[in-house]
Amino acid sequence: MAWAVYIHNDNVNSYDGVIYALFRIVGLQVGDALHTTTFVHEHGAAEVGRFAELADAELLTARLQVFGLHASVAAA
Amino acid sequence: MDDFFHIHSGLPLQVEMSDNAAITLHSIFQAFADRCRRFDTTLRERMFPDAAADPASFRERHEAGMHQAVTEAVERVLAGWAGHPRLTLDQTAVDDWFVVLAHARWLYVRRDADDIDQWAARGADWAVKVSWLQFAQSTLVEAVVTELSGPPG
Repeated sequence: MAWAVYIHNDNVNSYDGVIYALFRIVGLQVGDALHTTTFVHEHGAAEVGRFAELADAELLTARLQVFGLHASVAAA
Repeated sequence: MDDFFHIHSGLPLQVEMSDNAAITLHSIFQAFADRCRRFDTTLRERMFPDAAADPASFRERHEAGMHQAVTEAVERVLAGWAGHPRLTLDQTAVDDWFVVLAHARWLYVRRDADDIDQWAARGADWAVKVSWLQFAQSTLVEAVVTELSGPPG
């Protein structure tokens, strides 16, 4: 089983804020972070990581929440 | 003189803001630090929304650590900034400021808040504060990730 990490759209976080969190925490390049942020804005959520171990997925989820995003983890 | 919040691009960042902006931001950060230490249910749920199919188990494993990370960030920010209108931020401080600017908003709004800009335009104090926090965070990000700043002029 794999575990996916998602980020969810909200009415408060800005494009810039989401992009920075993806850049700093997920390690995405700025262009990829912008593309993912646009996808979240248009579709409500996007997968930003996939892990074999639940603990690794939860760690990324927690780090994204510390950076202010609504992140979640679910079985992929 | 109008309020302003400006950052020169390139680390370490040189931040300049109006006296009023500095006083207001510093007071918000102090209020957030106090509330973050108390960590009441309203703030807790705004800061860390349910993150798994079994949210209680996730909270049991991670909420204390997430709370500690944010609390330590706001304490570092306040320890390094007494509210002066000019300051310098290295990358670690940028991340701390980003985290504090992000979470201080939850003093005033939920994630599903509507029409913040319209409320701010009407002068609602909570919305003006949220708008300032948003503006400061975007300015901070655009000073670090220069690809996001618009063309000159």
